[in-house]
Amino acid sequence: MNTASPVSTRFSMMARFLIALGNEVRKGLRFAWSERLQILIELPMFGVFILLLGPLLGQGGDIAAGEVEWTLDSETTSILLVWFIPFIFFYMQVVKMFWRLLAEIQAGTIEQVYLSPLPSWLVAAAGRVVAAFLETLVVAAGTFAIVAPFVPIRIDWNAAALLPAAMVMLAGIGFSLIIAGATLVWKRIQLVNDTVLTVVMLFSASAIPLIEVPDWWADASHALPLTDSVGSLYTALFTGESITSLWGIGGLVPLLVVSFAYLGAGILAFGLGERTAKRRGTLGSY
Amino acid sequence: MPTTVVDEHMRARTRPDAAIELDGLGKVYGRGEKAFAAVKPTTLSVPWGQVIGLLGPNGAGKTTTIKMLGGLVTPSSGTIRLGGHDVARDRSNAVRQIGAVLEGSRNVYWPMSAWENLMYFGRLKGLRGGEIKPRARRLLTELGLWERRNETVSSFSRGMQQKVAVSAALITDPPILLLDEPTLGLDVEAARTFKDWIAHLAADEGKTIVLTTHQLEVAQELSDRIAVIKEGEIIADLPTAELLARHAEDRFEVRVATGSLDVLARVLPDGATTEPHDDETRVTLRDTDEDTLYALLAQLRAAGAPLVSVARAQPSLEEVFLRLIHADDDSVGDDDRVGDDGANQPTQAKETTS
Ligand SMILES: Nc1ncnc2c1ncn2[C@@H]1O[C@H](COP(=O)(O)OP(=O)(O)OP(=O)(O)O)[C@@H](O)[C@H]1O
Ligand SMILES: [Mg+2]
Repeated sequence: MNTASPVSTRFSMMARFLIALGNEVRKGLRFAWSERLQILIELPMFGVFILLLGPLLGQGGDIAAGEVEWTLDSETTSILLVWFIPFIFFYMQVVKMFWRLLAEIQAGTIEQVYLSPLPSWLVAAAGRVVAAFLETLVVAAGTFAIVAPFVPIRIDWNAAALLPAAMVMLAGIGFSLIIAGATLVWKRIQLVNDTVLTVVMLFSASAIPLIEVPDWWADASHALPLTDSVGSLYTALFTGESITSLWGIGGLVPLLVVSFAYLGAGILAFGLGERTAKRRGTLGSY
Repeated sequence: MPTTVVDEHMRARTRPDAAIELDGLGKVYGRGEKAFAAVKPTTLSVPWGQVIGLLGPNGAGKTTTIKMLGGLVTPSSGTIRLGGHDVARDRSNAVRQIGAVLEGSRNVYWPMSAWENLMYFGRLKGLRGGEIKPRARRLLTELGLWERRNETVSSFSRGMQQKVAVSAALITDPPILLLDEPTLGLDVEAARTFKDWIAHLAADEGKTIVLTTHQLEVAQELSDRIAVIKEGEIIADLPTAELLARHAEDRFEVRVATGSLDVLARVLPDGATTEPHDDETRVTLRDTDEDTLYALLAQLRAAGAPLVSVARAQPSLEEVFLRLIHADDDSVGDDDRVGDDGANQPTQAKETTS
């Protein structure tokens, strides 16, 4: 018999961290692979959505008059992509986190995950985040690839876009952690989920000059993730201006503050959800 | 608190006496009006290598106790030490001591293969691939799953799935195993194989095992010690043999060949019960002295009823269990516990060498 842990303590913390992360990512991608058909169906849907929406935008009057012109205007579609690709990323990150976690709660495997001696932020949160992230990258890239052949996309690549792109990811991760924390406590919250995601999508649209929104709408949209990152992306890619202006939609201050706030809130919410579930005895579904 | 850190350190290096120590462990679900004490403050200690059967009716608090042991449910009061490590303060080292198969849960990933599951859980518990492989191979071979290791667990029978679950729990070779109704839903043969394997883990590998089950013959066969829990409270806690002995009585079992039923009906004393069994009938005489027995035998002989066997019998664990949980709260209790101070003491059913 042995009480001494059989786990060798020789190799470093960092190696263990990477092994654990890789383990979770491998599992996540393994599940993604077994759902590959579903992902293949999602992909063209996103693409078609953009291709249909593109021609309609900015033609409110024409639609009312029944004179819609179904042309794929490259300028409009390109701008649309700057709004929609980040949203797909955000959406997928949140949705993947939610469904995978819910499945584990319902199967009860989440409890085995929590029996790991490794910290739960690593095995229950970080691994999932990275797995969802990789999967989402594939889908977002796929959407782009589907749309690209139909419209000559004119986006002048600019390294400044990296900052808002990183903030999209940060906010997406933060938000998915908020949802995950809530899922640990309330379980089947997909309705809330879908509603919030729709709101995020609608409000972030105010960051691109395709839809006129009232001022209060624009102001409120700062509080939601994506708005300022989409705004900043637009500035970087379409206006040739610098993204360093401090205020306004896409301004550096709201961009950084909001994105980091969502990340922080996510980490907090996840920890809180975990604690609550353990106290209530509902980590596995009860 | 520097003193506790040192304390933890010392405990980790010197093997503590007990594998599991519960001190005033309790759980209240909900708050205010809806507060419900699922586990009342319990103090208990399980020595290394002991198999303790935690028995109780539905809702008694067995699963809650097991989940608290694994740190999955936060206790409302008290402390838990696993191999000397406090679950609340030193969770990482505490959970390294255990493997668990939880009730009604899948425990492993059905869309993944048996092999993938073992690799995943090994890494989840901090092992490297090279350390996991030989062990996974041995476990799967022992359980007869090696040939099918690459098939997804969802394609397995319930018994095989449960075997994968236990293999996953054992992948790090933890000294303590928590099994919450492990034979639930298994057919007779699968349950038998499973039981034999648990017996082997206890006897040959010296695992400390906490087992809950509603199949009392499984508990009787496997457990060195039985703790009966009712409404969150331990109402009996004794070595299995001693528990049975305390409820022993003068009881005889007389078997006669079938066909003599009419004779039996005439000669049976009050309180005797009969039970048909294939080609014989079993008569149980409870709380009977030998005189009554001999009188019955004489009458059977006179009536020419063919006798198969006569034996002293004892109530089964099932009977003892039912008696315990149906007894009025104060009439059982104390004499079935090791004693108020003794509840603290491990019941040394099996002396362990450390
Ligand atoms: N998460 C929870 N929230 C509220 N009450 C709970 C929770 N989990 C269990 N309970 C209640 O606590 C009591 C003990 O439940 P527990 O699952 O520990 O019983 P058990 O002994 O394992 O029963 P069974 O034999 O049915 O598995 C029950 O009354 C149950 O309804
Ligand atoms: Mg139970």
